[in-house]
Amino acid sequence: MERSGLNDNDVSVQESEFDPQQLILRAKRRRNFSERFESFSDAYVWVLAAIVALAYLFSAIFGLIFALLGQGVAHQKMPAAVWSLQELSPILLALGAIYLLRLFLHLGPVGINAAKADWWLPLPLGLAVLRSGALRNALIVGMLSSTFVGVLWLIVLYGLAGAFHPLVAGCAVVCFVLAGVFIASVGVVVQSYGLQRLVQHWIDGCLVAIGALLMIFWGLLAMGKQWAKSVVENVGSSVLHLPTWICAATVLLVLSVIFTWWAAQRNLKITSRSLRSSGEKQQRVLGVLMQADSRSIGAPSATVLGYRRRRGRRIAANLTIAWRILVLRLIRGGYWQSIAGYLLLVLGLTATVEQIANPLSMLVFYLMVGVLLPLNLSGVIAPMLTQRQLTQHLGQPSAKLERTAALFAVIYSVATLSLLTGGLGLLGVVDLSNFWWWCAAVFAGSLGAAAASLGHAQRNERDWESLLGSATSDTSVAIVLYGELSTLVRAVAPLAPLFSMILSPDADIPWPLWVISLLFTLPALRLIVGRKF
Amino acid sequence: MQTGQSQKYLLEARELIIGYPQRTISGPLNLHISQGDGLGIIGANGSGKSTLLRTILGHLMPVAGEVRFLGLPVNEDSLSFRQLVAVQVTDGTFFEELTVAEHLELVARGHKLSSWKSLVAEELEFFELHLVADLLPHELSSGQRRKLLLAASLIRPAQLLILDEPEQRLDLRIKAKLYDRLATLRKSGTTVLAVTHDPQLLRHSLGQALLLNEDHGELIEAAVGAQWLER
Repeated sequence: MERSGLNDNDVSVQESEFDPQQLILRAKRRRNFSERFESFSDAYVWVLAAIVALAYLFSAIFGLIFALLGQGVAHQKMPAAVWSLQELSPILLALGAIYLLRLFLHLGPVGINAAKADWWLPLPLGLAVLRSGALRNALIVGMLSSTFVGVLWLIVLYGLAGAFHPLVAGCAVVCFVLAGVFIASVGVVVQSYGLQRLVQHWIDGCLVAIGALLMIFWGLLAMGKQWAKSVVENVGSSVLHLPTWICAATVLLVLSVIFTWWAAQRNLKITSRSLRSSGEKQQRVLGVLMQADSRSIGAPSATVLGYRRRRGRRIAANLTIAWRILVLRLIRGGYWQSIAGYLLLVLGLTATVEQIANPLSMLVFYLMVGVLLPLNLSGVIAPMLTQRQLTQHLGQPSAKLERTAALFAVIYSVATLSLLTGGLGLLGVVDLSNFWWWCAAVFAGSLGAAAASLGHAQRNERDWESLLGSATSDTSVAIVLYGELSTLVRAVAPLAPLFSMILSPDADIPWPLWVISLLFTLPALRLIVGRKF
Repeated sequence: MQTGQSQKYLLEARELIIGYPQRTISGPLNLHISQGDGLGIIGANGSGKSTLLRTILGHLMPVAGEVRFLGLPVNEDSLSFRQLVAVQVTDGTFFEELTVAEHLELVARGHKLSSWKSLVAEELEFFELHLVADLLPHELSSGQRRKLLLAASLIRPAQLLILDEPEQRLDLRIKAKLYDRLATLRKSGTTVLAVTHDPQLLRHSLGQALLLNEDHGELIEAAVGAQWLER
C-alpha cells in the first residue's frame, strides 16, 4: 500500500482511534473572542428576528380568521357551503403532518454536509459519531418543524373557537413534539431501506384519499345526512377536548419510542451514498427557502422534474427567444403552480365553507394575491432584468428584454386577477354588474402587480440571510426592510379600486383611488412604453 | 482484507452503462485495470468522464452492469475500500474552521499514520503550501485550494488513486512535480485513474487512455490519447 512516494518509511499505524469531531471542536474553540461574539450575536439576531416574525405571523393569522369568519359583516349563504372552518381544522393538521413526512423523505432526513462528505466520510474510521450526529440533527429538525406547524395550527384553532384552554394547548404541544420525533424517525427508517420514492408515492395516494373522503362527506352533508353531520361535528369538537390529546400523546409516545429505537438501529445501515445525496438536497432546499421560494416545500420528485423539463416545447415553439425563455421558466420552473393552487383554494373555500363568502374574505383574498403574484412573477422575470450577459447571448438590447418582461408580467397578472374575479363572480360572491369598472380595476391592479414584480426582480438579491447578513448597521437593515416593504406597498396599493368594488359594489370608485393606483403602475408603463416619465 | 473469487484485476467494469435513470450517458464499458496501471479518461465535455468516476467510486448507481474493486462490487461503506482508494474531486468543499494544515492532519490521522506531523509538513512543502498552512480555506486562492485537495489525496496510503482533472489551476512547476510523483507512485504499485485534458499528464504519468465517445468507450495508448487531446 503506497502513500505519497515522498517518504514511505514513515507509514505506520496508530493504535488509538482518531475522532475528527475533536479536531473540529478544537478548531472552533480556538476562535478568538470577537469571532465567538460575532457567531453568538448572529444567532441572537436570528432568534430575535424569529420571535418578532412569529408575533407578526400570529397577528396575521388572527386577522385572517377574523376576515374569513366575516366578523360583523353579513355573508352570503352558498348552496354548497356545508363545512365550518373548525370542522376542517383536523384535516388541516393531518395534511400538515403528511406534508412534513413527505418533505422529510425528500430531505433524507439523515444527511451530512458537503465538507463532512468530502473529508470525513471517506476516512477508514468507524462512522458512528458522524451518523449519530446526523440522526440527532434529523430528530431535532423534526421536533422543531412539527412543533412550529402545530403551534400555528393551535393559533388557528383557538382563533376559530374563540377560547383558550392552557391545559389542552400544553398537551397538544407535547403531542406535536412527539409527532415530530415520530415523523423524523419514520423518515430515517424509510431512508435506511431506500424506500423514499415508494413511500412518497403512497403519501401522494394518501392525499388523494383524503381529498376523496372530503368530497364524499361534502356530498353526504349536502344531501343532509344527519349521521355524517354528527361525525363531522364530533371530529371538529374533539380537538378541543383534553382526553383526545392525552390519548394522542400516549399513542405518539409509544410510537416515537419504538421508531426512534428502530431509527437508531437502522441509521447504521444508511449508505454513504444516501448520506451524501441527502446532505446535498438539504443544502439545496435550505438555499431555496432562504430565497423565500415556496416551491421548495412541495419538493417534487426527480420523475416530476424530469417530466417538467420536457414540457412546454410546443407552446413555446413559435415564440421569440425572450418570450420563449419566460414561458418555459413559468412552465418548467413550476412557478404557475403556486398561483393556480391559490386560486383553486380560494374558490374551493368560498364555495364549500360557511361564512367565507363575505366581503372581508374577498378583500383578504385579493390582498394575498397582490403579495403572492409579484413574488412569484419576479422569480420568472428576474434573469431578463438582472443578467446583463443575456443581452449579449441573445443579441438583443436590454431595453427590449425589459419591455418583454414587463409585458409578460402584465399579461400574467391580468390572467390571474381575471380568473380570480371571474371565479368569484361565477360563484356570485362579487357583483359583476359594473363589468367595465371591474375590467378597469383588474387592469390597474395587474399593472401594479407587474410594477411591483419588476422592482422586486431588479433588486436581484432575495436571499434573506445574505441580505440581512450583509447589512452592517441598523440603518442598512432598515434600508433592506424598507426595500421589501416597498414591494408589498407597491403590490397592494394598485388594488385599491378593486377593494372599493368589493366593499361597495354599487358606489362609484373615488377618483383618489384611481390616482394612487395609477401612480404605482408607472414603473411598468415606463418599461412597456420604453421611455422615462 | 476480504476479496472476491478472482482477484486478477484491481478494478473491473463489466458491461457498465453510466448515467441517470432518465438519461444514459455512456456505455456499455468494459475495463480491466491491474495494480500499477495508469489510465487517463478523456473525452469531450459531457461525454461522461466525471460521471464514470462517480460511478466507479459508488457515488452514483450504474444504469446497468457493475464495477468491482479487488473482485468485489464497489462499496464505499466498506472499510477496506475507504482504506485503499484515494480520491481528489474537482471542486471540493472544506471545513470553514479548519486550517490548511488541519485539513491534512484530518486525513493523515484518519488513516492512522503515526508520523502524521512530518507527513503533513512534507505535503505542505511539496505543494508549496507551507506559507499558508495556518490560513483558513476562504483565505486561499482557487489554485491553493486545488493544491490542498491534491495534497489530501496524496498524503494517505492508497492502492487506487482517482483524480478528476488534477492539472486544473496548477502552475507549470507544480504540474511537473505532480506528474513525476504520479509516475513514481505507479512504479511502486499504486494504480492511477485520472480524468484529464492535459496531454502531458497522459504521456508522462499514465499508460493508457479511455476515450469516451457518445455511446461507448475506446481503450487507446496514452500517446494516441495525447494526440487526440492536442487535436
